Amino acid sequence: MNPSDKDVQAEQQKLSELYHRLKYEQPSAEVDERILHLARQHGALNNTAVKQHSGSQHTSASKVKYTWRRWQWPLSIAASVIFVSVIFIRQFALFSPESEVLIPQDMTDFAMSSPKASVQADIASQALEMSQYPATIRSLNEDLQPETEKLVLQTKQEKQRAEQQSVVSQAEQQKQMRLADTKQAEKLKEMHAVAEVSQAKLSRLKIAQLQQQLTIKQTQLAFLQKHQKGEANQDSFTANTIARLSLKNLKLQELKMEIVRSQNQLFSHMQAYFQEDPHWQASEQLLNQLRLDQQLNWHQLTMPKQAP
Amino acid sequence: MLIELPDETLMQRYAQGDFSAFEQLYQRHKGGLYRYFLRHLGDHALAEDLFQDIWSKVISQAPNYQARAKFTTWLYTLAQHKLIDQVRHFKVVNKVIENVLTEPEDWQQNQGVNHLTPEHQLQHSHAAATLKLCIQALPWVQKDCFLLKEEAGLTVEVIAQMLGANYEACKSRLRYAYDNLRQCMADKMGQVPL
Repeated sequence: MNPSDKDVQAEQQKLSELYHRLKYEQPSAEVDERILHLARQHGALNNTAVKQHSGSQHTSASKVKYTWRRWQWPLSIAASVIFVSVIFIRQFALFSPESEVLIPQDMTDFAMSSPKASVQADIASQALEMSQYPATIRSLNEDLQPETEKLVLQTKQEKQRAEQQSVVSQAEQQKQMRLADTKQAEKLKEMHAVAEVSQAKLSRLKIAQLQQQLTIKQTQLAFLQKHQKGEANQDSFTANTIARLSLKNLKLQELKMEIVRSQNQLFSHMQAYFQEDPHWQASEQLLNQLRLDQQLNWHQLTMPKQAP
Repeated sequence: MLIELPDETLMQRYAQGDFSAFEQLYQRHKGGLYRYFLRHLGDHALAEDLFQDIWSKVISQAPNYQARAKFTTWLYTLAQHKLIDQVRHFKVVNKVIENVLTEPEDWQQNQGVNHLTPEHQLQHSHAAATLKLCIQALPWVQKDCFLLKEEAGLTVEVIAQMLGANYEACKSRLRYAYDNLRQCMADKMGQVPL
């Protein structure tokens, strides 16, 4: 130990002595009294315990006591939890109407057919189960039985109501779908009719157009033929006149061919339109514009159908 | 006869229902334990509350008491835990220190120096009050070590075990505590009086 350590220790000693002179603070007399009273009470208890369990039994008895004290709370809690769980599991079926516990397997169909019968079956099955219960649980069941019966009945009625509602709603849906289909079909029919009418109109217009073209061409032909006859009656035929006449003949031939082509077109349109509308009757004027063979054919085509 | 018995034996006798053993034990440790709380907290009422709590615990645990360690170590371990809980929960340390520094305790309470002359009495009272202030101003760990040594009379080794620190750390804490106290006393009074 070096001198500096000694000095330090001396200083510490000084401070220690000074501090120990301060040791006058004490707890109040009231506190003393309270603590000693408490200690006396506990001491008395301990004394009684010691006297009661004196001798060789003291150690084992106190050990048992302390062991019990140590485990009393966990054991109590565990026992309470087990008791509550058992009651809950036993009674759970009574509080859940949808559970199959109330409706045995062999009675399910019968129960589904009539709610009252199923309730009776439930009660019968409960009665069977109750015979196995302890007396306390049985009394609980007896209290709960009418309520359970009501609950089961209500649940089944609600189920039936829900099923009825679902069937009604399905029927309404089907009805609406049918209505929608009918409307659609009607619309289609109308559209089809409109289209047919339009088609007929179009065909008639085409026929009228062809008839007009044919009329124009036939008029041209008549005019050219008349003019050619006038020129042919003249006495002096010059070379120019002959050339002009041959050219006009050529034109006449072309026009005749066009008229024949137009007549064919018109006749084919008339036939097509007649197929669409068998009641259609061609006018006299129209028929006159056709060739003779076509007129005959038309009569053959229309006569059997138009005859009474 | 009871005076000669060690604390552990007294506690065991009390556990068997001997109230006088507890009385003896209480008389031995009440001052130290009370001052341990008082020096830490600086508040008489609070110190008394904690003091009472600890003794209640000692009484209730007496039947289970087994003399594995010294009674003093067990008692002050309980006290230290209680104190830490109290300080953590109510955060009174700073408040207490401020109160003490601004309102010094009544010097007339000094009853242990009545045999001194008035001059000495005055000087001693002044020194005592200054020492109290200096103790209050110590850092927590240093104060704890100092009080456990001075009030409980525990060795550095036992204090280290109690605080969960190693021996050297505890020793240096204690040395710092004394150094700080000496420095504080010198600053306030010029020297450390005897």
